[in-house]
This record gives sequence, C-alpha cells and structure tokens, in this order.
Amino acid sequence: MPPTRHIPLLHAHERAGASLMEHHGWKVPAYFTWAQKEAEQMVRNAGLGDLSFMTKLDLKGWGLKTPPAAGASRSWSLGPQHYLVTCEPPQRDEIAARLRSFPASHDLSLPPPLYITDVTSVYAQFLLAGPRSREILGKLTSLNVSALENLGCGQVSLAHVHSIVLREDLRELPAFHVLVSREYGESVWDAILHAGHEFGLVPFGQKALEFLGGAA
Amino acid sequence: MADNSDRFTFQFDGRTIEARSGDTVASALYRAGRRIFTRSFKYHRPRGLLCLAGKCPNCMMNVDGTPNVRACITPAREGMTVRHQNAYPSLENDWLSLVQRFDRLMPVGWYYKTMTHQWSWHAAESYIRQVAGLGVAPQPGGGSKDYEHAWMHAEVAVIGGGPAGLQAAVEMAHDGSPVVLIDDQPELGGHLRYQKRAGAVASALVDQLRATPSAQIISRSYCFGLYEGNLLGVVQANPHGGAIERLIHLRAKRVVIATGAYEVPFTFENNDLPGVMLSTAVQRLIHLHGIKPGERAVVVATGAPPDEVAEDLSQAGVELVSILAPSEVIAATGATHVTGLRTKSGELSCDLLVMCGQRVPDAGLLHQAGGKLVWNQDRGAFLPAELPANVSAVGEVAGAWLARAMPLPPERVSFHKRSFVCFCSDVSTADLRDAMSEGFDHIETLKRYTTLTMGPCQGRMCQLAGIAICAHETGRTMTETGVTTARPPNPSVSLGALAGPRHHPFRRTPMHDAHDQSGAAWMDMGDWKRPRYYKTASCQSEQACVEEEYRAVRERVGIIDVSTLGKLDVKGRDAGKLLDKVYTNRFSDLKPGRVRYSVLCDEAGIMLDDGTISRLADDHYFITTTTGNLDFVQQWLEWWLVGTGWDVHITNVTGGRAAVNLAGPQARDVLHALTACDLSSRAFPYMACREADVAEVPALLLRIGFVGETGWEIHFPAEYGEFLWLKLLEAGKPFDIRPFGVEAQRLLRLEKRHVIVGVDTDALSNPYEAGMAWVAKLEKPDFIGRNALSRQAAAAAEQRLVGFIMNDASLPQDGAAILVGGALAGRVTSARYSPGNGKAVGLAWVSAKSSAAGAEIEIRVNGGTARARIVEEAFYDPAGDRLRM
Amino acid sequence: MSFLIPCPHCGNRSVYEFRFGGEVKTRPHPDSPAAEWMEYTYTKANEAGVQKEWWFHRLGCRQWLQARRNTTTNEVIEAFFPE
Repeated sequence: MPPTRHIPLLHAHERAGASLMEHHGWKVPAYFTWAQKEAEQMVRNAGLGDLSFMTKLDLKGWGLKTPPAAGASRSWSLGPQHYLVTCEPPQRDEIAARLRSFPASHDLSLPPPLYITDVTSVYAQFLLAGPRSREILGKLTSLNVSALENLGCGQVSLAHVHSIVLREDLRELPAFHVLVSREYGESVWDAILHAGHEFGLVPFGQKALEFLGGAA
Repeated sequence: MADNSDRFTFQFDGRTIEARSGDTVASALYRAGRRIFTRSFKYHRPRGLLCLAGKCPNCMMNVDGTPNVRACITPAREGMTVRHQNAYPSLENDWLSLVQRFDRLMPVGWYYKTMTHQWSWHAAESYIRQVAGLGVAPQPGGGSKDYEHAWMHAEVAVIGGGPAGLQAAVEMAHDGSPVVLIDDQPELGGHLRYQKRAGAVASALVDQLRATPSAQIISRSYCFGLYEGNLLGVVQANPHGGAIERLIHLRAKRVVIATGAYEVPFTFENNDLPGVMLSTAVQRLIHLHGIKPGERAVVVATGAPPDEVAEDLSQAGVELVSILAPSEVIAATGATHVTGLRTKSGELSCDLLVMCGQRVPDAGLLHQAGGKLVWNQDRGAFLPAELPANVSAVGEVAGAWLARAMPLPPERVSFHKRSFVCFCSDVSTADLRDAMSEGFDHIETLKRYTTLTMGPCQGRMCQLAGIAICAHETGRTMTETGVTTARPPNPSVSLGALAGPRHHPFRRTPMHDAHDQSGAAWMDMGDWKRPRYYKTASCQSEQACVEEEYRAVRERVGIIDVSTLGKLDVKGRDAGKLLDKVYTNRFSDLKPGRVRYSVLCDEAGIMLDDGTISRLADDHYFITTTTGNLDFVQQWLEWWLVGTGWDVHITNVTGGRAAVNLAGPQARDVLHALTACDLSSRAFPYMACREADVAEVPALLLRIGFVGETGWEIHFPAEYGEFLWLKLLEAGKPFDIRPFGVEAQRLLRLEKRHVIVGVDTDALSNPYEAGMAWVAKLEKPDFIGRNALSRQAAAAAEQRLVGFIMNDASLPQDGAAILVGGALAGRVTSARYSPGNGKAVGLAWVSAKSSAAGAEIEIRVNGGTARARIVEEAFYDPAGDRLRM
Repeated sequence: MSFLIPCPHCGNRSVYEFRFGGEVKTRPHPDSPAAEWMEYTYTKANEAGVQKEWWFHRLGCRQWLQARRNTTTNEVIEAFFPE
C-alpha cells in the first residue's frame, strides 16, 4: 500500500487551518472554514482552491498534428505538437491507455507518434473561480484574460513565475486553473491570495466544490 | 462645490484639520489658514500653493507615511495623517533656510566647482546626504500597505479627462470598443470644473461616458511614460484601502493624448513667495472648494485673460488692487508670504498675487514617445508635429485655444538670484545667466549643468521659461534654441510603484518543512531555499555543525536534499544523437542502466554547465543540470534541436522529482533496509542506475559520488518527498545518520577536487585548463565546441585550475589573490578547512608556468600572505576506491 | 524596450517575455578552417535595418522562434517557427 501523496502546499494549508481529507490517494484540504461559506464566497466574489492532485499528462510527438481526444479529459495546446491532458486521478490509466492506442504508422521508419510523460507531480495546480477572478488575474499577469475564452489556455508569467493558465468555467462561473512548477506553489498561492484580498478572495477546500456541484 | 454639511478631520503635523467633502489635502489646509506648504529643495525657502493642479512641486507632503505626495490632487480622507517634509523643525521655522544666506558660496554647478579633490567629497558627503533630497523613504515592512502592479489591455487609451479627452473617449467607445480613460485629478472635467461658465458641458460629457459600458475610467492616475508598442505606464493613487499606489501596465492599440495645457508662472524677484499663485489655482480655490483665496489681490497679465479671473475674484469678495502687465513687475515683497509688490510705477500692498501666465501644452508624453515638437510663435507653444504611429493628440495639447501671453523670447529678462525659473531645485534666472556665461549655452548642456527641468515636476513649470531665457541670452530664436529631450518618467514616479509588491518568488523543495524541523539554517540559491547546515544541540557554531555533518558522511552516512538539481526527461529515437551533439562526452553508446558525467561547452569551448546523464532505455535519458542552469540547458538543447527533424522530446521534470543523495560508508546498509534492489557493487556498480521501489515509492537510483563516498542519488515523485526523506532518516537511525547541508557538501566535494562549474570556472574556462581533458571526446565527428576545443587541446595552456594545500593553519577566502615571486599569478576559487587534511585546501587558477605539482605559491590571507603547495591529485581518496566499495 | 513580438503560438506578446538568441547564422562544417569558425563564433553582423534573429519565448510557449526585426525601429516584421 503506497503512502498518501502530498500536494505541494499540504503543510501550508494545515498552518492556514485547513481540515484535511483523502481524495483519490492524495491528502487535500476539505475546507478552510466551512464548505457552504466557501462556496458562497466563490459564487459572490472569488475562491482559490488547490487542485494539485489532478492528473496531468504531457504529450509530445508528430502524431499530435490534431488535438488528442480521450474520454473524460481535457486537452490543452501548449505548442506545436505539444499538449497537456488533464483528468481526475481515477481516469488516469484509462486515458493514458487510450492515448497510447493512437494508430501507429505503417511506415516503420517513422518514430512513435506520441510520447507521454506524467507531469502530475511537476505542477502545483490552483483553481481561481468566481466573478472577480479576472480582476484578480489582472493584478498578477500580463495575459489578457478577458480575451481567454472558456477551454482556452495561455502560458505567461504570473506572480513572476512561468505559469499555464487554463480556463475551465464551473458552469456560469468563470474559473481559471493556474499551473506553476511545484516548488513555486506556495509563493504563487500567497501572491494570488494577496492580490485577491481587496475582492474578497478566500481559499476553498474540496468540499466546497462538491457543495457547488450538488447545489447547482 | 464643497458640501458644507459633510465635515471630517485629519491630522497635520499633530494638529487636527477640519476638511469638507470634496476637499483635497491642500485645500483643507489652505482653508485652515496654512500658507507655507513646503520648503524648497536647495535654499529651504518657504513655498505655498502655486498650480493646485499637481503640476508643480510646491505642495509635496508625507501622507500616511508615503513621501512626496502632491497634496493638491490628493483627496482629504477622514483620519489620514499628513506631515510636512524638507523642513526642520517646522515649515514656519526651518533652520536650513539659513542656507540661502550663503548662496554666494553655492553657485550653479557648485558640486563641480567645490568638490575638486577626493577628500572634499568624502568630507562633505555625509552632511550633503542628510540635507539633500526630498522626503524620507518609508521603512520596508513599516506598514501593512503595499504597492501593486496590474495589467490592462484596451483598444484605445485616452490620457486626460478634460473636455477633449472626454469627447474623444465618448466617440471611441461609441461602437463598443474597449476604451480606458486616464485622469490625474480627483474628478473628471479638466478646466471646465473651475472655469464655471462651461461647467454644465463637463458634467454632461462625464455622464455620457459613465453610461458607456465599454469605457473604463481610471481616476486619480497619471501616465508617466508611453513606451514602444503603445505600452503606457500608469500610476493610480490609492486604488483601494490596502494599497498606496498601483502601477498599471496598459497596452492599447491606439493612444489619444488629451493632457491639455497648464499655466506657468512669470519670472521676477521673489516670484516664489507664498501668496504668488497661478490664476487657475485661484479659480480652483474659489470654485472647487469655496475658499476666499485672499483679501487684496494684484493680477499680473497681458491682454484679455484677466477678465474672467477678475470677475471670479470679485465674486469671492477679494479686493482687486490692480491689473498689471508682467513687464511692470519688479519684485514681490514679504518674508514668508507676499505682502506687496514693487512695480515700475511704485509700491502696491496685497496678500495675493495672481499670475495669468502662459498656457503650455502638456506635451511631455508625446515628446518622449518620439513625437516632434515644433515652435509655434502665434500660440507661444511647442506643438506636436510628427506623432508616432497610433498616437494622436487632441485639445489644448495639440494647440487648440492657445494664445501667446507674452513676447517669446522675452524682450527683457531680470536676472536675479531670487527670480526663480525652476521651483524644484531652486534654479534662478541669475543661475541660468551664470551657466550660459560659463559656456553652457546649449539648451541640453544648460539643463544638465543647472538641473533645470530635472526635478519632480520634470520641467513643467520651468521648461518654457528656461528656453525663453536661453534664447534671449544667446540671441537665438525659440526654434533655434529648441526643447530638451523628454524622457520617462513624466512626471516623477515613486520607486515603490516601479518596484511593485513586496513579493519575491521563492522555490521550496518537497522536504522544506522537514528541514525546518531538523533545524535548517537556510540560504538562498537563486530562488531556491536550501539548508546551508543544520543547527543541532551538539554544535555551537556553523563551522562545528558543518564539521559534524562532514564526519557523518566520511565515517558513517549522511543525506542531503538535492531536489534543486535541474532534471530533464529526454525521450525519442534520436535522443542519443542530440546529446552527442551538445555535450562533450559521448552518450549514444551509453548502455541503458549506466550513468555518465559530462560538461557542456559553447562553440568557443567554454564550459557552460555540467551534470550526469543516465540512460533509462534505448530512447529515454535522464539529465541533471546544476541548480541555476536548468532553464539555460533546456533552451540550449532545444535550440540545437530546431530544424534537425530529429525525434527528441525534452520535458522539464524538476519540480516533479524530489532528489536526495545518500552517501557514506554505511549508505548501502541504510538503503538496503528500504528496497529489494540488489545494491552490491557487482549488481549495481559505480556509475550505474536502476529503477526500483524504495519504501514502496517508485524511484530512480543513480550510483554516483559527488562527495566522494559510496552513495546513491535517489530521484522520486515529489509528492513523496517528505515521506521518503523521513523514512531514510528513520532507516539511518541505527547508523547515526545526519542530514547535511550545502556547506558540508561543498567541503566534501572540494576534498575530492570536484569542480563546480560557475564557481571554480568562469566565462574563460575550457576543460583542458580546468584539468578535465578526458571529458571532451574530440574523436566524435562533431559536437558543439569541438572546433575550438581541438585547437585548445593542441595549444599550450595559459592558466590551469589546480588544487593547493596550505602550509600553515591559515584559511584563504574564495577569490583571494595568488602571488608567485611577488607577482600576481592567479586567484583562489574555493577554499575550505579540510578536517581530513588538518589544513585548508582549495582550488585556484594559476598561470601555467607556476602550476607544476609541488610548486609553492603565496596566497593573500588577512592582509598578509601565506604559503601553499600545489597538489596534482584529489585531497581525499585520490584513487576513488571509496566510491566503488 | 517594450515592443511586441507576434509569437506564432501565443500571439502578440511583450519582448520582455522573450530571450534574445542572437542573429540567425549558418554553422560551419566541422572541418571548416579556423577562420570560418572564428567568424561564426565571434563576429556579429549587427545590421542597422532588418535582420533575422532567434528569440525564445521563455514566459510563454517556451519555443524557439525566428523573427525578422528592424533593429533601428524595433518593428518585428514577422515571427515564425523555423522548419
């Protein structure tokens, strides 16, 4: 039985008073104050959650001239023939298998069409959601987030750190995933919370997301 | 109009000041009777309100701890704390105003004239530093307030919220284009706010703009620079309660400059006395704040402009003594406030002198953005002629409604030491004359020599007068004299706003909290936090701790967090080909399960980085880079890959892999307790790698030895970082394991004579002179740097990186000079006390002719010299037996 | 410097996000004479006008691209991923 996985900010969240829970083999914050309040804050102003447990697969290769498609995952274009695929941890193996089943070329001189590297551990992943999230990002990055449509992505400096910004709205609520190299996680988390203070930004735990999912 | 029913108070220099809603700090203080608002920069002369528009330097104060805030455009807020600056003990009684008695000793350019010997500056510096400058910078961490940065994108940016800017913004936003309007005043409307006859037009335009959804108004903000690509630097004051200022990086496809025009003063003796005011300032006091500006006023003006001002004054109940032409005025009189006026036709008594001065287009932004300014004699102004692409100018800044108020250049200038041109740094007409007579008669040299236009107002008050006087004195026209080059910032901007939030990114390894628990003494390595050493109960000093850690590794077992190493995952059929091309060593023939060390050179043969490369499978390599060079190495590899068509894919996995180095004679025993992997030297020899579970965590084990003992570098998923670190410490307990820090590691590697690229080598170091010839495989047909290296291999070395051991107990510092026969012969790159040798050992660059093994050198230590001997081989285990045990 | 570079993947971005990679040059053959290697390694054309340059989008897609830039005006005429 492998040990529980630690998200990058586990101890920082503990110090901030978070109650922890186990989520797909990861130890994550369940809530910081209480779930309903966090969800309401998110809907009214903005919330920041730690979704570092999300599976992230880095895909490169000549076979990626078109976006890869595999079940319950999202794929984000990071460059020419370079994609990031994100999914919930339980779907990881199935999705990786489906990606690998990419039809190989009959031309044996060609290299494999696709290389997959699991980069789940490489990134800290935060979800900034709520009506004020765009204004908060405007204090952190030069990316024109107003021009970033749902399911669009951009790579940019955010809080002085190279970041991948993925927009994935929670129904009507604008929401942005911010991915930074894991070791910068705490620094960027602090910077987002600081920038969001004037807009009423609060951290939320996994339970608030579940609450939102159930309430809607 | 100020609302009388809504009153509140704030503090000024410990006194309570009553303010009304709509008041600025300056208007509230003026109503409360204050007339001196600041003391001047050089002579500490009393200064009062002059422009009341944020254009001049005369009302800069410390507001809530922030220095140099323009009180006249800062809205008064309940409970704010305002303090004077640049005067001691008070504005009324400033001891430093004695300086002006000695003005003969402080001629223009007096630094250059008096500080002619090195000692004179040393003698004067501390005194000058104390009295010079404006305001006092806030102490870092002294408050909860912060400076902020933000970014915005717009189709059109309009600078200036006067009638022209409002009109432009309304028109541009009409079709739904995103328009941002920047205005530096507390409220929109520009001069329509206080020139009351047109007031209704302003509010109608403001209402119209506010009702336009695509228009965004940023009030109380000014644009200090217009840069390439239409990037605007905008500083917004107090965007919210927690911020002092916000710097907005605004990108706009088009920029409309509607900064309008401002009024400038006339030059005559004592033109800087409190009570001598611009007419627009008087109108602002009357119409915006309902303040009677004085009792008896003299208006100085030419032609028609005074009519409206005279009417405003009489409506406010001010007695109008006289209206005079500027040429009539000789001097204002009074000690700390104007009490009268000496004119060609006699003395007049007054307490207010109103100057209807020349209106000057606020064209600084246009000019610094690359626009050309051309003199227009009719309008008496330098007007924008050629504008950069996608920049336009509208309204007064473009010359609309302007008229010349006096002859330019002037027919006569009264040169007097108290006739001020520049209010920021006390440059008088006499100073300008003196500077020109000394030969500084070109407007650009005149500016640099006198500091004219270089103060906080960035030439707003003085530029036109300076040019006019220069033209007059040299007999040139205004066009021939020209304007000085405008550069950002325009106007001055606080360093805090440029620096931004006190947020510096940092990088933490997955084991950070565990190190904290173990007593880590932290050091910064780039953005990384790394334990330098661990404080324990058993050691008193850093040196004692480092030595304990050292002994643990040499005698038992130690463990260090090396997660900061750059880690690149390289996949693809042609991966070996790329590594062969870029690294000096050969990798295509490396067998899976083996590790090889290499350096990376540029085409000049200079070593850029080093690291180990492990082959995990035929088409899969794992590279480590030095901590600081990860980005460079990845970019270097990608660069050489471009255009090759090779099947190579590089992924940076640095953050995703925790890494530790477990080393020491008992490292195998510790690791054995946690893994089923066969760790014997037969199954897992030196420079081999294996993938295996350690405490159920999937890991990559590299058997390498930077510190010179049997050991493994263990790379594993970062989410298990703390778990496995603690597991290894637990498994090491029976062997008295010690975590060790960077300092012990540096000592351990130095004894092994292992080079740190970038510490022991620099931008002139090639592998041959560094004693690493073996790492360059010149027999490879091609690799980056091969051509240069093959020439270096054949050439005689000029200098060599050698090891040395001290003859006595002294310890040289890194960088210490090396002497041979009294002449400089090199320098130390690293030196440490080596417990294994009982003396300090080190690495040094020494000229080749003095670098023979056994040769004696002298090293500068503590001001004297100490002797050392050059050693060819490693200071510890030269045969490397311990690595292979 | 604040001009924009039209990154073929990310769109118009501030030059601040990029690392300058020098002029685009052709690397000599490994056996070329030393003089040719010296020229390649140390000499720059430093064109006053349009030149072809390497840029790396470090705070974006992290790709190397080539751009044609007028060095006197900083106008970037085009930017593309080299084949």
